[in-house]
Amino acid sequence: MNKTRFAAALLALGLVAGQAAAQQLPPLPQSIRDHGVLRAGVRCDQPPYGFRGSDGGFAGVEVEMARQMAAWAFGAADKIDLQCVTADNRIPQLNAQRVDLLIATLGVTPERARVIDFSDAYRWGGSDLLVKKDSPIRKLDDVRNRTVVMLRGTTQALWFDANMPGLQSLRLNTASDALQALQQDRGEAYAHDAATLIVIAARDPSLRLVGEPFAIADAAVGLRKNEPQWAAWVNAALARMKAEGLYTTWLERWVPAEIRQPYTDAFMKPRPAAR
Amino acid sequence: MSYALQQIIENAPLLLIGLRATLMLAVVTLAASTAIGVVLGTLATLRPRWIRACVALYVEVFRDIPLIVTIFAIFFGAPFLGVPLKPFPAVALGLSLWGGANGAEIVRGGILSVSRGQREAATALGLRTWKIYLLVLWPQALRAVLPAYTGLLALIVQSTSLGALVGVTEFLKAGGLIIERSTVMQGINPAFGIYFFVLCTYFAICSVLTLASRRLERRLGRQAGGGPAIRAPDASRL
Amino acid sequence: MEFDLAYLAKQVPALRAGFLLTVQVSAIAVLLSVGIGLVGACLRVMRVPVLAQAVAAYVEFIRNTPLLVQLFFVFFGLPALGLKLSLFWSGVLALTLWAGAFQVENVRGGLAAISPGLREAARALALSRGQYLRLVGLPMAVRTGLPSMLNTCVSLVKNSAYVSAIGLQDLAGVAFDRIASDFRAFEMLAVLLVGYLALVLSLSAAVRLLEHRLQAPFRA
Repeated sequence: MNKTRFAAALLALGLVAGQAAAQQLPPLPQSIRDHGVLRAGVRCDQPPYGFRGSDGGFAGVEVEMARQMAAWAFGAADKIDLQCVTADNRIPQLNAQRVDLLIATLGVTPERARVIDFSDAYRWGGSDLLVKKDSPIRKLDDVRNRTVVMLRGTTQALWFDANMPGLQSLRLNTASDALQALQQDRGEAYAHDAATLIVIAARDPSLRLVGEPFAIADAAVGLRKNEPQWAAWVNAALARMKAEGLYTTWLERWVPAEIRQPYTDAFMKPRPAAR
Repeated sequence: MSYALQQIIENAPLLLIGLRATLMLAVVTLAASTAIGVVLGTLATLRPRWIRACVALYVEVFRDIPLIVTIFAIFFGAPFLGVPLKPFPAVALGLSLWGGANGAEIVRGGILSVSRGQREAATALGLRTWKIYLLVLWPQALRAVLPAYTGLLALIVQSTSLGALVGVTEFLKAGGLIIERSTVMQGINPAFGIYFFVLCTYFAICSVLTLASRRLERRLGRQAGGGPAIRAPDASRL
Repeated sequence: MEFDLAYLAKQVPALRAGFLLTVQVSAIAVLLSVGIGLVGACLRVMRVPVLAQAVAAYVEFIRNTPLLVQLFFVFFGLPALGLKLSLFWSGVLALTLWAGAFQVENVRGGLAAISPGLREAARALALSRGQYLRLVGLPMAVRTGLPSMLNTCVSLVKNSAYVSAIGLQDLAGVAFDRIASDFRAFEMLAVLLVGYLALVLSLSAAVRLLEHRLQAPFRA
């Protein structure tokens, strides 16, 4: 066999194998199929995972994940119904069946596991503190006697309740409210997912990160309880995304190169230990 | 301030969507509150004491619990009871239960304000109870009830703003989304201008209703029986 | 669906702190709003130029706009004017302005209910408008208007729950925060429903008792 034929045969084999891989997703549950679109809850205030793009539309790595699932489930990426959710209303929205899955910076915690199910983790994420550039806060314990801004219902709220119960905290509803509160000196530090704080700090030179990661948890897709068929589909879709290297593509699109490394580590490397 | 104005004009479609949701929520709530209010208000004028007590209990409970708590209770509690309620229906239900309580009070007052002579004459003519209500009491109560009901509608429109807290994209939430986008994307916070605009819009809508309510009160004021005009539930009873 | 009493027991300190905050916010707002009511009503009755119209406009504006939006405006919007209040004081201010408008109307109602004979008698005695108000009008107006003024106060306590929307950890705020983190909606909502019902019912009962006592000299 000459070289061209050999290459062609390999290509054909590769295509067939690719097709076989594409057909590896288990069947879509009827209840999901009946909606005709993928109804997903995503964040609209947390770059780079879920936020509003410059055109006002949905943007971010997790939004891409949702769109890809829509493409695999219904054949086109625009067969999707995206819903903005916040940390305190995302789980009620899921259980109220307003959405069928949550790809919304949802950390895996035992409290949440009581009321919803999680898919396999697709990344991990840590928390950090955002402070003003000239703030005296240099490490996590420095906030003990200060006011910390955070969002209601987040992993940070849970962590501070468990580890610094007497802390003066300002609990708001959206990331922009929290950022405003920090900038207006209503709080001396803003605690949130490091992933979002890195982007904010990169955009605003008057702010800096404290840089002591804490509350590291896996992030997974949120699903209602007792939907094993749907869970199996979602897990298979996540595995396929990893296998096809899609996370890298999306990170390249949404995260500037100079800060990309921590995000890639979050998707690809195993979770480290921290407080 | 001009930045806020610019943002409002740019985002007019979003604000209109929010306004539409607000008005739809108000209309649905008004309809449901009327249904509940007429039924319960009428029941409250029947003779058996236990019926009146039950209605009084319902009215007391839904007027004493803060409306924000009622709505959150339905929104967070319904899934636990196995009833998945999306945000819009949850808010509509909460507002209707509260609106129905206020409506019941208004209807009760309206029916009671019809002079006793009317009821006695109807009974003397041999009309059955449900006919008395249908043909004699309700039509006359309607005149008395209309001003107060218009006032209640103004309150209902205002309370739809609570939908913003559970994820309904009504007018207040639309304003909040504009502020959020601007804050995160451009670093400028137009909260003052936007919320002032939201306040003025509600003012425009509700003052029309309030003025209509007052005018109706003056015109329909005294009933044939000479009873005092039914007061609209004050916003302080919100 | 289980009711976890042990969980509830652990939340008691936080709930108690929240309840205390509710009481603080309500008490301060009640006092300030009554003050606004008295001053505002006087301004209107004495027809002070500009100020009387301003009070009238203020009352109309508050009555026709939602309390929630007023609250958001005070907390998120006023900092643009340089007026950046803490969470606590934003809540107090918003509630005060809201209730103050109704108190103005309540006191005006009380003043209007004073029989013309008294007003004429005051004029015959050469009392100035201000003296009339201070010595005769306001005391009588408050006596007459007390039921509606107290009802507004009770409404104020009830609606103090709105401050949870901006994140203040009052009773409602603590409960909603716990629900957002721990998802024990049933337990927390039960506490809220019972708590606010008890609070409002007991205050209403106290008001009715007070009214009954005040009516004593007028009963046959």
